[in-house]
Amino acid sequence: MTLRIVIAAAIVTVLAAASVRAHDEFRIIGTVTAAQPTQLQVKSREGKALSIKVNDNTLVYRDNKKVDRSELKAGRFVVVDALGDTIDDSLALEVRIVPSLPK
Amino acid sequence: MSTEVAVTPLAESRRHILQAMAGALAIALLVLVIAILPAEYGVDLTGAGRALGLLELYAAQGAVTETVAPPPEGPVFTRDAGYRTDRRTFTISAYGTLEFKYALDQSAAMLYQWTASDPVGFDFHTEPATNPDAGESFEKGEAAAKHGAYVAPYAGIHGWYWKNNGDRDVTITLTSAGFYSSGKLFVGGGEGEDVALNGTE
Repeated sequence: MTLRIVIAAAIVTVLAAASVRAHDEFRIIGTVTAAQPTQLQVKSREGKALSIKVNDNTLVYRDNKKVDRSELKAGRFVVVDALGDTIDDSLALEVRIVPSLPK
Repeated sequence: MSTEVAVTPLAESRRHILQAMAGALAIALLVLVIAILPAEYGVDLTGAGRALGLLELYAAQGAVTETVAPPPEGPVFTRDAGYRTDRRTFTISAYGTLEFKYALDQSAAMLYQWTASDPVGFDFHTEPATNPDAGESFEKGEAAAKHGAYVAPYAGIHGWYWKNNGDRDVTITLTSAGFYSSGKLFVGGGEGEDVALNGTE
């Protein structure tokens, strides 16, 4: 029994380590349409609705100062740097709240 | 008729589970160090990766970063063909990004310089021809200018990802000379487009 647990746990650990891969970096510029604890909805400047994951490691800045994630509110203009295989499954590393740009 | 059921004491079960966890961790670490790190990341702490041929697996991904030695004729080496120069200017809109890379064969060299009208974020990185997902980042930071020399550790496209972190347009001028065959421009992600080189051939 003990041996089976050892082997199973070893396999899981090895597979988890092997699955670490590089991701692409994405920059999203747009207006927040909704901010949830684990998801940020952004309408890009091109008019595309995007959903980006956020977590406790996501850094949020305003006026070059780190602020709480609760500062991400609908209507705020943001610049998001995110990592992921595609933009739709990307995780935000850094979100900067900036003044909106003229269209 | 009575049936006897063997009951394992709780403390003994916990001991078994802890032993199992410790054993699993030890095996996993062993496999990680001996097999996964050499094969996946080219990190060979024990020498077993080279002995087992696992480093070759990593090399096959096109991501080996071994030192590129000058050819046997010495530090000065000539190439009969393929020398080019290039100069181009990009404008990156406020908060925008842009990527430009040159196609270089293994051991091909280039000299480069870029200057920006405002400091920009940059990342000099690669996409190996054999495995574009196994790219490497060689230099990252923020600067208004950079110049240097580069020898491609493997065939692929090699160049810069720039980020304008300001609220006004930034102009970047890139000048280079070397043994590259083409250039590729990426605006707003995507597959990128081949661009004509602007200098001598």
